[in-house]
Amino acid sequence: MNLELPQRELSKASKPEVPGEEGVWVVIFGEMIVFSILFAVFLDARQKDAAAFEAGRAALDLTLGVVNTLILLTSSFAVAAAVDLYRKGDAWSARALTLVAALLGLGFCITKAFEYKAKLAAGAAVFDNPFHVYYFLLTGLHLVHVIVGIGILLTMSAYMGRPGHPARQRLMESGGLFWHLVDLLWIVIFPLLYILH
Amino acid sequence: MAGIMHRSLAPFSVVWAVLVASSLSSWRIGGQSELGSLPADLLVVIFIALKIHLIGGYFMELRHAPRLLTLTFNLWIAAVSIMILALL
Repeated sequence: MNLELPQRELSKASKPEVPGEEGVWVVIFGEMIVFSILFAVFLDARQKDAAAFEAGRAALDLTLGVVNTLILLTSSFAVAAAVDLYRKGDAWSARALTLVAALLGLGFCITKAFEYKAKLAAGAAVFDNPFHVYYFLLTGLHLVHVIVGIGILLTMSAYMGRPGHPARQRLMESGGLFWHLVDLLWIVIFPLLYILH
Repeated sequence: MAGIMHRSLAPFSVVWAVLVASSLSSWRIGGQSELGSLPADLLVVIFIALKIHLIGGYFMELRHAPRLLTLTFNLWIAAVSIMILALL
């Protein structure tokens, strides 16, 4: 462990610090607002066509949804640990955990691909039910964020070769924050689409 | 990989365990036959709020962030939770 590099200590004893780059929070809150608008639109549409939406929901594979939830939760755990270890100078473990998170992200994409394949097997007729328009919109938009997030995680791991100075630590925090955003959005999307009615 | 056994990762582990337990509980609630009842839906929404609050506080390190940032984040959680319950 290299004790000579300055470390950003986010502990109770020190002054409150904004995690990551301040600008990344603009992105994070922006995405949270955009998605919450989509959630509202979905909920409103569902109120107007409850039977069709319930039929769509009931046909979803709940198990795959749970698997994807557990995948993202575990990947967030890995990223949080990675960022913390990187700050403490353990670049090797940080890189390993970041790659694990990226692999889990890939697992999410593969599971999603299976779900989509099953849904689209019936052809364009699946969109006769408006529920599926929202299903693909919400999960599709989220999937784009997952893919971007995986790219960010891979970039982070590439730069985790050696422990870094506070500026680099902050960049790693920022990358991690985006991945936690991906996770927390799914925490809403999954019950919204698959469970609540 | 001795670094991974670092004691400071314990909080993350506990949070992860709570997140997983909450998710499995929501899955269980969702699988019950009395779906759509208000108490079940309320519980699921509470779990959503709790999970995002934990992710924000511990994984995103908002616990150590300036109060305004944390407050804004938690306000979003509250707003989305109330919106979901209102439009169920």
